Amino acid sequence: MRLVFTFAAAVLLAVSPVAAQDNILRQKAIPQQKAKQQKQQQLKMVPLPAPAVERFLQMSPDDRERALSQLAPERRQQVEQQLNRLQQLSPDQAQRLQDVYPAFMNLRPVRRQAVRAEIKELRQMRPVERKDRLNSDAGSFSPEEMSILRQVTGIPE
Amino acid sequence: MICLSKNEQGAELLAGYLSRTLDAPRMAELGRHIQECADCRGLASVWERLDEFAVPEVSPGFDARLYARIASEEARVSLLSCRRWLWRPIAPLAAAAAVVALVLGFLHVPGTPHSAKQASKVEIEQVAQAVDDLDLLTPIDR
Repeated sequence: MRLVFTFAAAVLLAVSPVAAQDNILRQKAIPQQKAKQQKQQQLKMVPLPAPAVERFLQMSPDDRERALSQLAPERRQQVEQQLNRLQQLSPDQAQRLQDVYPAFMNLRPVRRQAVRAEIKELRQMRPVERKDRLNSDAGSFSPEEMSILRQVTGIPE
Repeated sequence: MICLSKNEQGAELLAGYLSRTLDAPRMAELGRHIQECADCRGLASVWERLDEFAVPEVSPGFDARLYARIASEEARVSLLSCRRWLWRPIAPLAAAAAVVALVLGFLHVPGTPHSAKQASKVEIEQVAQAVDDLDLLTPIDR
């Protein structure tokens, strides 16, 4: 009996460092796997049409952290949430954004501001109200601007 | 009566008028006033002209390169001024002065990380603005 007990203790002592080492290796592998998954997810994504944002997304996590740390905490949180939303867009939504963003950036700054304000208003509305609002918008917005508003709301002419 | 030149919020009113974000009665009132008031008409037309100016696209990393160049220029100027100040007709001190000037010059060079920080701040703000716009322009789920 004593012999069996001694043998069991010896096996336990021999196995435990191996198990601990295995555990450490597994823990080390988790962040690597996560980074790999993130990279694969980024490769699958339709690129965002804003070069500055794409450059930011290509940065290493450390550089990204350094850049974000320059923003005020609330602003940083807002930007991070927005980036998360953008990275979760469906391919169809990302494609539509690819079409609409360059058209938006081609507008004069003052008209860009007007379109921003209008989209904010439209986002607050119910779909029926949006349709009515878009019909009445035609007088205040150019055809290019109307096209942007229609693409964002998904309401055709 | 809204007169842009007499109103404390004239600039904001004008921006709102030009971007058509003022409410309809104010838009109409200001529109009528601009027709009648030569000063306000001039102001509005200048702003409209400025707005028509097409700003050329800058190349990627333009801000970073610009700030780095400004920093190196500043370092060069401060090095020159230190040398001028230290350079006296006293010959034995000339060598020592040159050494001091060089040291001072080196002390001024670390201005670069500050400008790099400034550049990256500008860039992250550009990123944040672009992210705002992208988020706003994301198609609305119906």
